[in-house]
Amino acid sequence: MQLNWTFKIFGAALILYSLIWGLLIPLKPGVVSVEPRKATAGQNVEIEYEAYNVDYLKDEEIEVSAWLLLDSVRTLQATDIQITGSQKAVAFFQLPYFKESDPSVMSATLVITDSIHGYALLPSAIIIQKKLQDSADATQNPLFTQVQIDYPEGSTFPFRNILKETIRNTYYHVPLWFSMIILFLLSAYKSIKYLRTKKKSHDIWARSYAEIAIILGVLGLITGAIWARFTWGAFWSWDVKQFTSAVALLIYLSYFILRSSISDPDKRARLTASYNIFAFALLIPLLFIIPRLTDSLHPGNGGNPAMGGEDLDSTMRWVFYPAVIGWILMGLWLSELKARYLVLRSKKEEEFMSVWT
Amino acid sequence: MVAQWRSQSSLPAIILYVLSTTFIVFSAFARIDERNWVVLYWIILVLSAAQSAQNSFRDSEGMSGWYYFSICKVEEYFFSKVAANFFLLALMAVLTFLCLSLFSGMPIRDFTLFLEVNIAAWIGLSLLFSFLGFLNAKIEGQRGLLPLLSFPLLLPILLEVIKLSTISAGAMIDTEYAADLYILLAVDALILAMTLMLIRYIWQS
Repeated sequence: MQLNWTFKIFGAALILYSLIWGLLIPLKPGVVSVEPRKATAGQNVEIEYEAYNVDYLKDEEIEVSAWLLLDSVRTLQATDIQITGSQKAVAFFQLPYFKESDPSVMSATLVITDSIHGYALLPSAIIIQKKLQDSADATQNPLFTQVQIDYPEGSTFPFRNILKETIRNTYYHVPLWFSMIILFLLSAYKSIKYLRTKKKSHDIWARSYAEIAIILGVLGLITGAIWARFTWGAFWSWDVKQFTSAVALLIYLSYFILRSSISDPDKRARLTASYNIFAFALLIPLLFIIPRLTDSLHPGNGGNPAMGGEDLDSTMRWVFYPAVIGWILMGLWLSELKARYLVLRSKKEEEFMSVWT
Repeated sequence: MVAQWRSQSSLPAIILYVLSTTFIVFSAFARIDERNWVVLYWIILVLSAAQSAQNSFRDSEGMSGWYYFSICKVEEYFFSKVAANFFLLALMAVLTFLCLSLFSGMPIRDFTLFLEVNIAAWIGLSLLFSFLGFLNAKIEGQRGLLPLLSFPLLLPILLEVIKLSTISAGAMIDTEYAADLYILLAVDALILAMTLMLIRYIWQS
């Protein structure tokens, strides 16, 4: 498939766009850590928290406030806030007593907002133990307050507590895999075409698609491993997704080993086309079915959110979808270059042979 | 195709192979738990299946190859090889099972599941190894490519099989193993369909 030059420029522009905006757009502010994580109802508590992507010391007139969300109705505003660093502050809360119907332990979400950066929250930030009000103590704690949430101006990416800045990997890692799968599919399609028509150019195209797909696959594996280093703690942890995708690359490496070990071009084209189709058919259970049945840490598996859940908001979509289209077009363009080079080379070889014979 | 079976006169070789690998395994491990038992069983089986599939296509080239292809269709030739490999695999499996059970005890609790898994795996393995063995026999010069070509492709089967037989040994608890069994059968069906489609193109010269 030869691309029109407008598609090539379009693809390159989309990749450039996703690189620039994917790296430049800041993340929303977030809460990184909270101390202490436990408290008892009816007591005063000082919660020291560390925020992300905020600068409390930059502006003198910044207004910071904090809330604890106990459930859908009960919210508690901090009585006072002391800023201790550019990203650190201590919030003072007067925890209310529990009602009789409450469970013995409740977890509260910490929400912080300020007048410049907007809001940030940490789910289950603090665990509060149940304590009922003594009948002798008559003072009632204020409970119902309204949370004022100011949305920050400009576009931002969502803040996730474990992912942090690595959420940007969505724009590079995922489109690389999409592009790889499409190129493998086209490679298998060209192999079927070759077996049907026995035209040499189909074999060349099948080879070029597979070659570029392997390069994209290796890049996808590397970006995934770097991401895993920061979120899972290790570059390689034998997660089923890592394992099966590495095996998929091994399958295509053996396709090239097979190619290089047969000298007769017609036989090589025929046998490798058969192997390519066979391998692609077995790739489907390997990549798409088995990882779904096994526990995995990968987003989209084992109850982890991915793709359209809470990890992809509308700002991200504006970068993610162009990146997918861009990488697919780039993959097609690269394989086209490779195939055209190989066609020219085989023509040259034929000319050379015809001079000699 | 009795000739296929007769030409596979490698029964003593298989017995020797199974016995010697079990001895090596026992000199290396002091004690084998259920998980390792299952993994060892399948590794011994897969390696010996690769070996026998490589040998079984020796006669597809040269004069005897021409003779076979003059008297029967390529599908007939190929599927008789598959059948022969299937029975050899079954034999090896029984031998390996007996040897391992004799030396290190028998961890399998759910026999029906283990047998189902085994039969599904034998079908898949014999088809896959025969297909790639046939392909491998067509390559002049380098004959040692079969493990390289087949082991990455084996993994879907092997992953499922090891998981299912670990369940049958009671080392892992999973009540919804039916889905895994269906996937194993689906992979078998996929391999069968692919070999049926592609076998004609491998034999064409």
